[in-house]
Amino acid sequence: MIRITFLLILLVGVSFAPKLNEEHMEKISKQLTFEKISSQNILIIKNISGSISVEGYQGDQVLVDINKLIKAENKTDLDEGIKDISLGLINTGDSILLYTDSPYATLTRKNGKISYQWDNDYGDIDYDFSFDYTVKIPFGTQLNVSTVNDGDVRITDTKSTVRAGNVNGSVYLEKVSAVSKASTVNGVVECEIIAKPDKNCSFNTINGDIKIVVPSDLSADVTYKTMNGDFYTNFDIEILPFKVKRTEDKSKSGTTYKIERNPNFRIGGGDVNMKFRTINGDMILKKTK
Amino acid sequence: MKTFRKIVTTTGTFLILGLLLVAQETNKEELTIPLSNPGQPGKLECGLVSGSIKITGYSGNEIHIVATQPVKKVKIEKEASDPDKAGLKKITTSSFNLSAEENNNVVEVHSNSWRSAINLEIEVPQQFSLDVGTVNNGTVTIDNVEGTIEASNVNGSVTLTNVSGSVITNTVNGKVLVIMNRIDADTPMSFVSFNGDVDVTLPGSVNASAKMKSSSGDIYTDFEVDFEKKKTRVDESDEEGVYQVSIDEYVYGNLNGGGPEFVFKTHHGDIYLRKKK
Repeated sequence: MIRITFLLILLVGVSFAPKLNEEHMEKISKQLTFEKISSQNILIIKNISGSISVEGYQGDQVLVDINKLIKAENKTDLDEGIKDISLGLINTGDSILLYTDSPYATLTRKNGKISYQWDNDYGDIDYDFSFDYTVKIPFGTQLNVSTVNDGDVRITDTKSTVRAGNVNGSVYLEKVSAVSKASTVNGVVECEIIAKPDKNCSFNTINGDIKIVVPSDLSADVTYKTMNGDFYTNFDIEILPFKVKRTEDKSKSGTTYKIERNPNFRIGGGDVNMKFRTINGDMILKKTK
Repeated sequence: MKTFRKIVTTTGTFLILGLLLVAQETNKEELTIPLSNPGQPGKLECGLVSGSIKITGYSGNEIHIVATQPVKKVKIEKEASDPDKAGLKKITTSSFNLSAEENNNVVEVHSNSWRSAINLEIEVPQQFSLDVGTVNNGTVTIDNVEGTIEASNVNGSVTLTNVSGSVITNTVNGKVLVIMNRIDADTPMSFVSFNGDVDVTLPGSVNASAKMKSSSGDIYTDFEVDFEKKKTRVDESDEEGVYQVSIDEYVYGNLNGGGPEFVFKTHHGDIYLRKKK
């Protein structure tokens, strides 16, 4: 009897597993221009699902190629997906913002800050969607790009500050001049920085390694925080006194008093701060060969 | 002979060097936690994975924690197996996290002692309950506290001096030493080790029914224990055709006419039950 029930559950389970037979593929191409050309020009991509690949080039247009893919079990769901999901684009003249637009997305701009939220709490959506970005940007354009699911973030050959985020995927920065923040949750963070960092930067992940390669004239104070990882470097380091952070939080469940002492060391003159944080992974900081 | 002496001196030098390396610097941090109801009963909960806990009752109304941790030196490790890490230094300075949550006089202390040992010295109001324990590389020491006390260790001793109220204490590899001034009436207590002596001093007037066992040691006492003669309990159970007999080798005896059950137990070690002078 038990065996029969088990079989039934198995059958039911299999029959409910969605077969996404219906597909809608669309190629989107855009040539975008910053009206006010300055060093403050920035390209922002807020992606939800799909990969982002950006490359710097000698030119003044932002060239965007997107593979938009919607998958569903049946035609009705697919049509709903096609209707819901579209590419959002805002060009303010000195910044270009590309995002996944849908009834579930809210984009707010306050004092120049962009907040983008995705909220489909009020019902599951019956289709899958993804935007795979391939972008070329003028060398001097700043970047702030992020995705959440089904893809890596890969940035190559840029000459301005990069900020890159992911959640379920990795972040790879190759031959970039400057990084402000590179972070993910489930994936690795790898950066090859080709200029001496002159601004603070941070590298975060939860489940994955962090591997940073920087020029050998690096001058930084490094702090790191990890649970199960270790820090490896071939720079000469000078161990600094621990940085002590004291916090006091009041909540319903009482007051929490906390002391955190994180390892702290100096490379060169300690001109900028570099922060590393991972829970399950190692951190590597290496000189460019 | 000369060569021999040389070897001895060289070894000596190495020994001294070694000692210098062992004498490490320590990190020290302090944390003071005010109570929401000062002067009222409260409880401290603290569990370490590695390190010692030392608790002292004092006349104040706050919990005061001093945490120390040895500083680790930077080590260079060759990890040739991983090409990413070949030739890199591994930095092993330890991070240090200590937090305490206070809710209605109950204070919970958390730390990352599982990564590297932390030693805690905690001052609590003299009347305070405790539930504290550690596992490795440390001892549990409690002095001058009155309340419901639970103290445990695994690889180390538990020492309670000048305590009152009720005590439940155990360790696996280490000595249990308890000296009680005053005890709560009608409260069962337990003093247990596995590899180590159990040495308990109780007020002479204690009313208790002692249940004592040392598998390979002896029991010593200066109480006039009213032993229950030949009270070997045999439990028989017949469950689903499996017949099991277990023989209970405890020694039972009443102190001052009997009372709540006090368990004294060890496997390798002696039991000392002393009368407070």
